Amino acid sequence: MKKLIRIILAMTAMVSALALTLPTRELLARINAAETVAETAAPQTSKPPVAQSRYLGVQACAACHADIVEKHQASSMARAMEKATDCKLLLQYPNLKFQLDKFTFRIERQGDKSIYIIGDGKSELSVPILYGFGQGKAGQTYVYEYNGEFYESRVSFYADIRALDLTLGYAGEIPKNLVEAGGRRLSVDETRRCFGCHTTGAIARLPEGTRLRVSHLTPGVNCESCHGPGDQHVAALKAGEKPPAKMKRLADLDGDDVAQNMCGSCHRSVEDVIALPSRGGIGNVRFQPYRIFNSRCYSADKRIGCTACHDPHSSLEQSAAFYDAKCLACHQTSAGAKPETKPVTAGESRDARACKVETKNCSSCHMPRVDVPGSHFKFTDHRIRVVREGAPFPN
Amino acid sequence: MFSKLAHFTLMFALWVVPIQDRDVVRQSEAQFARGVELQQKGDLDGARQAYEAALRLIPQRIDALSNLGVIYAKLGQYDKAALNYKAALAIDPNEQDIRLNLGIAYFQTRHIEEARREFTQVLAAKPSNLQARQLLGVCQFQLGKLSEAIKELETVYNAQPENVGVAYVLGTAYLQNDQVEQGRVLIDKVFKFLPPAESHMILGALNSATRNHVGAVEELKMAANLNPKLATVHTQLGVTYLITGNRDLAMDEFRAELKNNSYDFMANLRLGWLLREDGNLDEAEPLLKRALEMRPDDVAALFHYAQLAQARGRIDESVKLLERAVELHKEFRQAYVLLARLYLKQKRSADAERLRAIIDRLNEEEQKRQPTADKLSEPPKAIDRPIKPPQL
Repeated sequence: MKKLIRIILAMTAMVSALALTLPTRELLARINAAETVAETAAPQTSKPPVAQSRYLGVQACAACHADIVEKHQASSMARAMEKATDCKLLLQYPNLKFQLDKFTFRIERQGDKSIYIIGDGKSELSVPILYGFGQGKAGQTYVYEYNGEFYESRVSFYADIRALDLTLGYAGEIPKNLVEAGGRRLSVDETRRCFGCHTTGAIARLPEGTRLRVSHLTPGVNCESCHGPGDQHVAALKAGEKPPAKMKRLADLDGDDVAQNMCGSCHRSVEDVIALPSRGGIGNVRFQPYRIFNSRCYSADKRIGCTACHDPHSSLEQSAAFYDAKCLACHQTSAGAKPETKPVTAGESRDARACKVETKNCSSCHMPRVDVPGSHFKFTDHRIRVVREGAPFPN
Repeated sequence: MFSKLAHFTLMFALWVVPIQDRDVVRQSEAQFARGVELQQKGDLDGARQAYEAALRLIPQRIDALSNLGVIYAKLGQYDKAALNYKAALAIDPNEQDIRLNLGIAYFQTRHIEEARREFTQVLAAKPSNLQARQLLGVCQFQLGKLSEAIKELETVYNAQPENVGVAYVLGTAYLQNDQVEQGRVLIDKVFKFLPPAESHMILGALNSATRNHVGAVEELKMAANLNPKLATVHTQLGVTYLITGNRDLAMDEFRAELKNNSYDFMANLRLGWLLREDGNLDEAEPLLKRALEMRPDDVAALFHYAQLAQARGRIDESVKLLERAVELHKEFRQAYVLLARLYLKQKRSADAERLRAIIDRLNEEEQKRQPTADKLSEPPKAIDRPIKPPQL
């Protein structure tokens, strides 16, 4: 063991060794002056403290933008996370049960709390659920605290079966004990990512760096999640500044920035996914920015950016017909027609080929819905393409 | 050689210059001699003034320029030292001792690539110079060129097997290069020379290697407590925190390392990267820039600085960095992806398409290497309404 210990050397430790190894150089014959190379501790510039921005919450935005706020509050984004105390699904399903091998999982409503109870036939572990992640359209996974750390529940609620089943990624695992059965401990970074994407104001930039502050969060993805903290904007308005300090203007972003930098920061950008083993396999159908990047028609054009089709302030449109106009913003409507050069809007030309099969419900063919095993949900594949029958899923 | 040349130059000067100028030569010589005397007595500032006086009289004195460079180096002012060495080399580029010192000045100011170039030139002129070879090996190591570093350091180690420093660096290079057995032999040799803090650091590294990250954190924390200025200990702790998924603590450690040594490559790169992710571009930029200056050919440094440039809207600059990154690392898919996106922004559709073809090929190759590749490429069970291709 001792030998083993000795074989491992922290690589970068060599810098300290350099102080020993670098030569003393006799320089010139005329003198014996020598240059010794000693490590010098270079001065470090101190970081200027970053003022902590304050999130004001949707009510502050609603004071002027009531119509948008009202619409947004009904959207999936606004309900990306709920506190267990007022979680609609947990209220609607007060007793949920699931069995895995010898382990029994129950979620029981007790007063204003939902208790997650895991039993192995001999003993039980009970923890109050703190948060439900996901609006429940596909499913909802629960987060609880155990021994001062956050855990993700092994079981999730799935709307399609109206019951609990294993959370994605847990299939085939048999836990060893009650704690492990309950779920997976989330690292600090994972916790941060979960809350960062499903809530507003959970990540604060403090003088010592950015930090997760669960006590300050607002559940769901609200105005300030995308547009940034509103304190300066509101303060400027109150002070009568004209024009007031502006919020982050997202309409100026090109299609690629919207897809990859804005939406991709939570829905997984192409750079995120490409770094995953096998790019996440079929599960990457859930990562729309990655999928759309692989579409032939992907570009920096605004007409292919996420917000060209989806209004982030509204609930998701389900009808395929709704999206036809979006496709036809670039594609012509009749086969064999010459490229239409007349701009649809300023600076944009509609010169993409017409579909040879149909002129409506484009997305129902070119963006098929894909069942991710274990998810009890079919996800719309945003890799826009001609789907060949029997062709493998283009990873 | 240098003394002969300098002597000859002075004699020549005395011979050719008019009588009134001979006084200038003599005065310059006197100032130089005074500088040497003061330098030998340890009066560096006095020596500096004397050399500068000698140079004011005769600006082309190689000996005074070189000695002035040494004074500045001893005062820790390596930038000024380098300027004087370069001025001397402009007069006589074959003076390899001065070139060696220029390399060292570059090394001290973390211009590793420039230092490498100078040491290489010294060795080209004098292959037996072990000092230059050792320094060249260390530069290669710092530049992440392990095979080249090993080659140089092996030569030095074979000639100087008692050189503990070389054994340490060479052993480390072996381990990094997956030549574990050779590394073990050398590290065994130097382990007993290490103080307790360094020992804990090595234990931390051992735990990291065996994926006992909790143990690694404990050992590295002990090392940092024993010697908070121990080079790279905070960086290693930071990297371990990153592995265990605690970027907040990792950032604290990288900052601590940079307080000790603002030229720690990994601390600059990692902290810059994390700050960029946080959207703190102002603080990230100088760190990533420094990392790139230290290792201009490091693909990670190129990529992260390119991401920062892109976030700041400097698309052309980002494109250049990414083109360099993929030139150096032809399978760097993330760099290809970002570059393709930027080409699209520049409306260079053909270039973007070319890159997308490369990305597809690399993806396919990666898929083949994955054990579950077949499974993943199976058609999903439920694709709604697959369409038949139209009859053309």
